[in-house]
Amino acid sequence: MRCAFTKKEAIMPTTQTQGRREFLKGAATGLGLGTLSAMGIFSYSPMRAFFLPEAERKMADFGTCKSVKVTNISETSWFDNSILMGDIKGAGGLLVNQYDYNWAPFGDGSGLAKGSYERGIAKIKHLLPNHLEEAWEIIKTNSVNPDNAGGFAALVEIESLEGKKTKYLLDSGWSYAWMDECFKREGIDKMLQNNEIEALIISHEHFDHFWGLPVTMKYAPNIKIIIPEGFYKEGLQYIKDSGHTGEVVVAKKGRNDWEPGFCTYTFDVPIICRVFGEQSLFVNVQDKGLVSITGCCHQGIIKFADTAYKELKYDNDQMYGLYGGLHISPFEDWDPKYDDLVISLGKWDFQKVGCNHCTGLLTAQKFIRAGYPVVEGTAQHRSKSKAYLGNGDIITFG
Amino acid sequence: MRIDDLYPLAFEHTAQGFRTLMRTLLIKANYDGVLKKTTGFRGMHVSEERQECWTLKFEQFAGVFGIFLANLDDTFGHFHLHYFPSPQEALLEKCSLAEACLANAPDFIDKVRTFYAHDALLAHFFIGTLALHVDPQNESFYGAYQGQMRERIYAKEGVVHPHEPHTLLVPKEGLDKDFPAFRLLLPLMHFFNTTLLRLTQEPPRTFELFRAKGTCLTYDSAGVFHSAADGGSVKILVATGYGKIPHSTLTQTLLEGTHAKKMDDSKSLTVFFQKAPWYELDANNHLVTTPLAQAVPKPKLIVVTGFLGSGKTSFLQHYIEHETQNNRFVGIIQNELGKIGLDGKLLDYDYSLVEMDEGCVCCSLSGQLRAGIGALAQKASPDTILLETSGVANPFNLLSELDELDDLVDFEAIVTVVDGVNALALFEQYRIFQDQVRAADVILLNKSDLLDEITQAKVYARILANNRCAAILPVVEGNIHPSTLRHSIVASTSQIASLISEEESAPFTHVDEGISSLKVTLSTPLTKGLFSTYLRKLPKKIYRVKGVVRFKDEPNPWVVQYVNGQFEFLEQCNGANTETFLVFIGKDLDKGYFEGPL
Repeated sequence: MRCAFTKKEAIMPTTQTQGRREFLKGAATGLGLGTLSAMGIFSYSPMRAFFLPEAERKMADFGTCKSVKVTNISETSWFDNSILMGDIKGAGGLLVNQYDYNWAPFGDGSGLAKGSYERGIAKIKHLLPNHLEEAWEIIKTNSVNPDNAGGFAALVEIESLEGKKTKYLLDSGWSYAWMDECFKREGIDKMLQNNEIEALIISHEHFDHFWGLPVTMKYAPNIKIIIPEGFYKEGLQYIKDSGHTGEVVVAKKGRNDWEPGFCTYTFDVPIICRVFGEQSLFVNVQDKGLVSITGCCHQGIIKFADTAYKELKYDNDQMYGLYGGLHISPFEDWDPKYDDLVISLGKWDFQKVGCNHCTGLLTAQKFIRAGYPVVEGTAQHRSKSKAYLGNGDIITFG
Repeated sequence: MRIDDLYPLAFEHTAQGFRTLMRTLLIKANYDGVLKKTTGFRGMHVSEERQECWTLKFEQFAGVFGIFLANLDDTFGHFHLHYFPSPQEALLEKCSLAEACLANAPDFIDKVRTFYAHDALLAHFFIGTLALHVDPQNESFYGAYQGQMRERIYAKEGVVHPHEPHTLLVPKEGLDKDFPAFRLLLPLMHFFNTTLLRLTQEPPRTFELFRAKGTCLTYDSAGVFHSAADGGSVKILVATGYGKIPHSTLTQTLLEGTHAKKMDDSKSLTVFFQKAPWYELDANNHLVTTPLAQAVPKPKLIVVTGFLGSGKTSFLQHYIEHETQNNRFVGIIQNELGKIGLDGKLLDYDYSLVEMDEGCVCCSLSGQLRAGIGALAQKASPDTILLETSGVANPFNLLSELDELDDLVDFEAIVTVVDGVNALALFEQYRIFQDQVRAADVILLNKSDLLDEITQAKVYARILANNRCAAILPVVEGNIHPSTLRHSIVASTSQIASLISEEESAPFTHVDEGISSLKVTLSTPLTKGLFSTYLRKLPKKIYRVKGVVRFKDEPNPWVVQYVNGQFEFLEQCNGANTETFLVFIGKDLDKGYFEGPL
């Protein structure tokens, strides 16, 4: 049916505009779309159809276990934030490839931001993984701020319903010197040598979680390594160059089950310093609910908790525990009032929370003051505050 | 363009694949400080209620932009673009009555954040589409924006006012909706093209504009809609492509059946795009990578002042932690040696700190501040520099030197932290306290939780009597989100918004590439009346003026504060030796223009 008007001038005369304004002022007092039709105004009916299926709550049953215990081997990823941020800014910002920084262990002596994986590894490859002290000496002379490097690693023990305990190593830290010291302190070196650890799970390709890989290789070169989908070629090469002789499993985006009650979920998000993808651990503890363990949670706690809610089935439909680094979201919200970790966390009603340095000290203190069930640590071995679950501290769920 | 450089997963031509691509571009854009400055990007939110959708804000528009993947065909992923106006903005009057009613609902903004979950929001506020095509094998990436200059809906039988049957809100065959949709696509285009330039360091291979006849909708009194060709409206397609192969087939696919014509270089729209910072042609008329690809942002400078015990230190600590959580680096310049300052241990990490020598920063400025900022920038390239002045410092002395630092930093604001509990007493006792309030762009009224209503009203009144132009924000323990602070700095956002979005005849303009400040020294006293007229007539591009002047027939100097069309003069009682000057902050400042009238 043709329109009767085609060339009419589109004018909105002022009296109509004023009448319109007045009307709209009244509209704020609750005229719904339903009442408009009486006046001849119609809701624009969608002329476009959206063909994409809608998401629903999947509630995949990945099983149940009895308990999970997390021992923090090291949460001090680095020791001085201003040095780290200074390096990142000096190198050109958050989008610069981490392998180019000339940070340990890939220093080639040419200075900040002038490095490369190939040139860096060439200096030390022959020493990995059995001569780490020697390698670290070379690294120190060639790298920018090597003493600032620490690392993140945690020991995760899953207890099955039948009482069987399985150990996983989550991440392998950064500095060879520091991580070896931490491994020895917690007895991880012996556990690895005795094949007590089922697999090394790398949460994401970041320097402070992954570059200390040779330390694990020194004690268990044959261990199964589980990496999230999204590693760049340098990372894949480093696994080989570190002396790994075992199996590499790529955890594809989405859910990956490892044993009853324990799965990881790989998030396809870009992370600072040219890294992509992070996997987080989910454990369904019998009668308690879901425990979430993260390396850093760069995908953001909102995405993280939303995903768990949509995808997984867990006891009591309750988010029970949370341990690890916490960021609200990789986005900066246009409404700053939503950029509040204290409020966001409250929505999920966690029963037991352990923070680390990623959370931020003032934020951790705010959690505590807000009465959140934060499990405090002992602030030892260079961890800076009791508000964190620090180096050597343990948290058990279930 | 190497798609696998953008992200290392194999690109899949599926809904999830396109969403991951969009999400990756948006998140990476978040990490880029220069992008925010040149495109006015102000943050985003992702919602996954029902299905993933993104909302974004830009400085120059008061409303919220929305993006979602609407559908998929063999060649393209089609994203729909929406603009949800703010209920206060003039643009809303161009929306349909139905849309205006939706926008005035009290929970509108909350719904906008999750707009995919609300059918009404999906059906309305549409401004255009973005069709993306990705071909990793050929390293090709193509995006085409399509939008109408005007989205129009006619009410065939008009719309009657519900309470006044003889008044027509919309005349018969008149326009219910007449929205300048294409204009609103511009900030999104600018944003994506700048993002791609900085990520890939490549110029586009293809950049073409096409125009075709637009369409409009009409509805009758039965609520039946019809689509028709609208002689007045024009549909525009802007195609941008990267990579090794030509993209003309893709454009032709999108244009099939529309009788579209290519727009040549003489058209004003084409000329407009050619002024974009991501667009540059070489001698052979090929697009090349512009300097924007490598630009490094200048740090922002915020001057923090406040009396001893005001809570300045707490404010700094909270600010630092917020910024650190967002991977931004804050540098501090303090000029108090050995006084109660920031305790690195208290904050769990060190931040870069430079201490200024020789007493008060505000008394011996020449070169000091420049050296301090220079040293800090060398050491650590901070995103923001907080200059903490001593508790007894007079920021007016500081102000006259700030414009000289324009090449090193972007001056953002003077923030004064005020102890709410002791404010009234401090006003009485210390002129310096009064000056700190008067110089402020933002006043943080700290310990606001300890103030009863009566005292609070008195404190506000006293502050306003000394500074009508500053934003006053009540805070507790100095805690305020850095973005809230930034957005409260009146002027830049609303000024530029009004330039672009409200004026019918305004030429298309790009977002500012840098605001600068200019200082003019005044050698002779001014005439108050003439000066007031001068300020009233200041062009919109100058949105802040601060300084100290002398008026004829007045013994004392007067403080001048001008913000966003509002101004005031405050007499200083003991400022006999104050330098007289004015600092102008705005864009495209031309020194000659100022010296004349003054």
